[in-house]
Amino acid sequence: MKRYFTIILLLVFILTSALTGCGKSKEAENNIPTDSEKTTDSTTQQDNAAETKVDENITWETADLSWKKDTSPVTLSAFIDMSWYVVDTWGKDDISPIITEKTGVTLDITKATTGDSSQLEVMIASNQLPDLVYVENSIMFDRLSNSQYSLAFDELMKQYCPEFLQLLDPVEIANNTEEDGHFYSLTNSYASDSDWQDPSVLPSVGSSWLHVREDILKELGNPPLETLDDFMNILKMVKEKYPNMTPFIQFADWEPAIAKFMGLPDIDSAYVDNGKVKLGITHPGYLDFYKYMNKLYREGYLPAESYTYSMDQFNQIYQSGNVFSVAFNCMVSDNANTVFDQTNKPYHFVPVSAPLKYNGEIKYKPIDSSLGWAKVFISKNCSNPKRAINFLEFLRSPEGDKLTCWGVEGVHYNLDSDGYPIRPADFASRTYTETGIVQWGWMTTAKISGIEFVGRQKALEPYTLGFQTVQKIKPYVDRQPALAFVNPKPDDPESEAMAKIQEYLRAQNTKIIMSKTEEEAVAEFNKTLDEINKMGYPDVEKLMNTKYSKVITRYQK
Amino acid sequence: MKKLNYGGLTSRNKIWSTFKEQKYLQAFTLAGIVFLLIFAYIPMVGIIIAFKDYKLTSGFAGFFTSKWVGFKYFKEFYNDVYFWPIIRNTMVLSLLKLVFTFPAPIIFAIILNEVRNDKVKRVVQTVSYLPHFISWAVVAGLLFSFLNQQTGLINQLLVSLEIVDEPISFLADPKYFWAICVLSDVWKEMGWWTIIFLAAIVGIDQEIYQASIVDGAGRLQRIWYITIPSIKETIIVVLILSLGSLLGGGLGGSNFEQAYLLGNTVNYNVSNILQTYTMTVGLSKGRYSYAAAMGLIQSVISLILVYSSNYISKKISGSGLF
Amino acid sequence: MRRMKRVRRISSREDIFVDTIVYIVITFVFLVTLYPFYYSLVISFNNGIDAARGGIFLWPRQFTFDNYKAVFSNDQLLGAFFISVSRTVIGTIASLIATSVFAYGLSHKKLLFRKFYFSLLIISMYFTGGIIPYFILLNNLKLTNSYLVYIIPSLITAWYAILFVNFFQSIPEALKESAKIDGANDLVIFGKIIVPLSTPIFATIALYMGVYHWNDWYSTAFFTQNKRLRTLAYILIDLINRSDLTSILRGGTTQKDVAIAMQTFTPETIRMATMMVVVIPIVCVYPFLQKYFVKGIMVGSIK
Repeated sequence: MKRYFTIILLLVFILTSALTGCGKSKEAENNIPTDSEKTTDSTTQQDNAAETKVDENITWETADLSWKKDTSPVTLSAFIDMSWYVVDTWGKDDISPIITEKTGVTLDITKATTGDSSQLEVMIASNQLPDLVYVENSIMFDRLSNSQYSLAFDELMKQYCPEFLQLLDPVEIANNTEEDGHFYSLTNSYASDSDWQDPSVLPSVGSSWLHVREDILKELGNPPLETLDDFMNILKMVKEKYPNMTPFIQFADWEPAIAKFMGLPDIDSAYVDNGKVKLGITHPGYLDFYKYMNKLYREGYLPAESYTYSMDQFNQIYQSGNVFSVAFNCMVSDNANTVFDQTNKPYHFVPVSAPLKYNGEIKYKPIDSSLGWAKVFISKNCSNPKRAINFLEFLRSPEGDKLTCWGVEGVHYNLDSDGYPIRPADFASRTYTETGIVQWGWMTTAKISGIEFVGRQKALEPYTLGFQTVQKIKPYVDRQPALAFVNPKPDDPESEAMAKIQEYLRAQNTKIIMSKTEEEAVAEFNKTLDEINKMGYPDVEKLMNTKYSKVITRYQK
Repeated sequence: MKKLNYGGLTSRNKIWSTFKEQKYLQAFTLAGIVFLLIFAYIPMVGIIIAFKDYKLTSGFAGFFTSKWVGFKYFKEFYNDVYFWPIIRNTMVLSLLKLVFTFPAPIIFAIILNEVRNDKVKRVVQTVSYLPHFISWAVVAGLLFSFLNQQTGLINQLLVSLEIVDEPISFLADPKYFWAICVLSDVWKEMGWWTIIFLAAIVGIDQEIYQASIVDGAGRLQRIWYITIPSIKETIIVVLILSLGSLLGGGLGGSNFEQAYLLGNTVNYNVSNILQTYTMTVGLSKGRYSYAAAMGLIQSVISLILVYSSNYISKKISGSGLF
Repeated sequence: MRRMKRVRRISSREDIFVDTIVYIVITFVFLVTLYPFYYSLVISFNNGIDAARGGIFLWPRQFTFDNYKAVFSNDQLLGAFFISVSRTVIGTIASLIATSVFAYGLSHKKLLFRKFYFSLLIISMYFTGGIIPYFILLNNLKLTNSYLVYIIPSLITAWYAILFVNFFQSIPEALKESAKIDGANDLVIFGKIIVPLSTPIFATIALYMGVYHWNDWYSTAFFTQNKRLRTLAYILIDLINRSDLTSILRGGTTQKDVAIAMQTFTPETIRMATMMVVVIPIVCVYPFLQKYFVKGIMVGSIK
């Protein structure tokens, strides 16, 4: 039997590669069963899956994938709830026609115009949802994750593509399961524990980090920069030697790198302290953080204006060359150096080479509670649920994932010796709206998109400081997916208090830092803690702990 | 036909005969009223969620089925830490704008009317209303380019002329916030609202001017005794309507956008106003009922302002909105 | 004779004084209002990456037509332009007729139930039920996803109606009365007497309405999905919103980073170029209407 099967597979491989002309692709398409095999197999397999999961060991290569069975043309409507999205039309880029060719599906797309999801809210309230909805906003996740508006993936899968259900990682299903026991979507870019082991899967370049001007450091005689105290001393030197230069700026709408170096959680998100969930601001370490930041402000190292800039403006300020150090994401050095080099300025930013020590040791331990990024929902109004779930199965399959993320081999990438996709020379001259690369990866996995990211970084030499930094950050990351479930949902009564607390903390954060004296800063900090208690923080904490204890058991299973 | 008594039986016949007499006028008006009933009044059912615990996921039916909570959201707002600062900030910003942005177009229209060269008049008028077309987002960007501490043109100028030693932090220092808002609003909308006053000035019978010249009236006299009285009614109408939209920031309704784009955590104690706060703790967190309640407060205040100013205006000047 | 001389001397001194103030003010206003527009024009002709460094105030530093090329290469632009023009023309004319006729009825001081009508009008200006019931209403009227959504809901605007009423009331009652005695009905009076006397207010409100129609992106975003119904204003707002990335870069994962890094932010220069393409046509309409504001009308000539 086995030999017979192998021969068939070989034949199929030769046939398909001859027919489709994609003999170059390495893994995904190797084991596609023939049409005859499909029809004979599918009925039995479907029956099996509906009752018991017989074949626990199927892989994407061996499975009998449902999306291949019906590729007749069908149009599905879709709404993208991301006003910044670069593609809003199907069929005009390189990738979407290939997806149509493979699956028969054409999307009729509408993209959000406003950044606040209000268009989607109107669709929800008036029951006018299109077939598919692609969302990144967690409030909208909650709105759509119920049987009133969306079709449950588990049920659709059981009915139309049982193999898809078997191919999913149980932890991933747990991540997406709602209180009614169903899951209505799968968060994309999710890194399972085994994915996380892969060196290509990295923390976000949006992680907070500190960057300094290397050229100025050199002029100062390369003083040591290993601890937060060193940093303070260097700022003092900069202020004395370069009175017209701004020593330090921090982007207001970002978790401060200094707090991260002190090992602190974000002020307005949850962390676990001895098995108890609390809001970041209640962490005792925050007192020291505010004293430190307040000193930076009082000494004139950190200008108040730094907290008023929008992102464009912030970038413009540090790229002007008049700023010594910047706390923002990991990309600051690369962004600035690109501009400096283009304008022939002898300036150079570098990220600090390691997390700065605090009280003599590295306390850096950023919490990562993300379960991925965005979700696709199949709405209750969906005109063709079968084709919709099959379409998503294709996008999730390694074949679809690679197609959407990497593109077509030979056209959009070539694999290098390490197996990373490298973009050809003419690729840079085309926009991503034209190529459509990445834009349709609605079901992508962290691994495939991570490999793409690494491949792209390789081509960016010498502007890879951000890439190197996220590699340095990775070992410190503390993964706590259970924390993703603890925040009050919009319809919980506690969401009222939470909304106010978050807004209050946003304002108080700046106010404490910009106190005139240290005593004032301490007083303001204590007042903040008192005030959030009055706003209903105890109830929020109680709710977070209830939710946490429910969820944590799910992960222990 | 003088004063109608709506109660009596005889007057009921009278009403009917008057109505028939006015059949065209009534038809014109009623057509408009029907339009308003459909497009403005039917959607007003949405107001009830200000008193309900509305959840978006309950859909449109939820407007009627969700639980009544009475004045919960109003109380919540009243008990908010920022209640008094928000009231103060909203009032100060709105009143400052009323004081400066309301008279500006009137004065400018009169000045334009005094330009005797037709070409100059046309060009200046056209240019003066250009800023109306620039969105607040772009204006905020412009303000940054000119006022920021690091590279801003104004600061570079002030420092190089040695007017100040250190560049001024216009955008962060709360004390400049109101001035920036008011000035940018005047700048952006003055030319636009000038048009309505110019139209009124143009409607003045030219014979009156000619007669006054013959009588020897000077230009200032003509402005004071002819132009201003002739456009008085327009001024009153626009003033009453401006008062109605006072909390929104006047006819341009710029309070939200200004506070949203020019506000930040550094000037929070002056830039936190009703509209932005409703946005951050209400709508953006999916709390519709709260947002509806805040909107209702504004609507009620607007209505009170319009009716009372109309009443006062009629008492004082004899003319009003209606 | 002596008296005349004195008058002229006084008035000429006054003339100089008034003219000086007038010219100082208009020069100042001219410069202050023209400059930002000029600045936007300069930025729209500058290279995008270079402009992001800031510091451009008077002249493009790296001159280029690329931004305009990018704007005009948008294949939706021509269709959107046509939709914008047609809805502005049709919408303005339709709402001008509807609002002015409505206002004419209301302007009649002895109109039965006038106070009641006015109250309905005023309340409608300040109370709204939010977007959700409004959408459901339009949907039930079959207006969503239809060209008519651009025309019908804006037929009557309360505040323009009030401006009309205010102007109509300033027309001497005697004119209407004499026409009535001649046997004209209200429709005829409106067409033959009121409209010709009210050209300034018609021109003003036509401009205000026209600009509303031209700038309205909200109806497109919320009430239509059909790409063929997109307007220029919608394309502009879409571009502006696309470049607002603060919220996106926050936190996130690699996939998100990829999506962002790849989208190579819409540069400010392209936004400015698009803004110019949107704004210039409507600004060009103004001089044609302007003659109604600049030259006074002679009431006597219509009598």
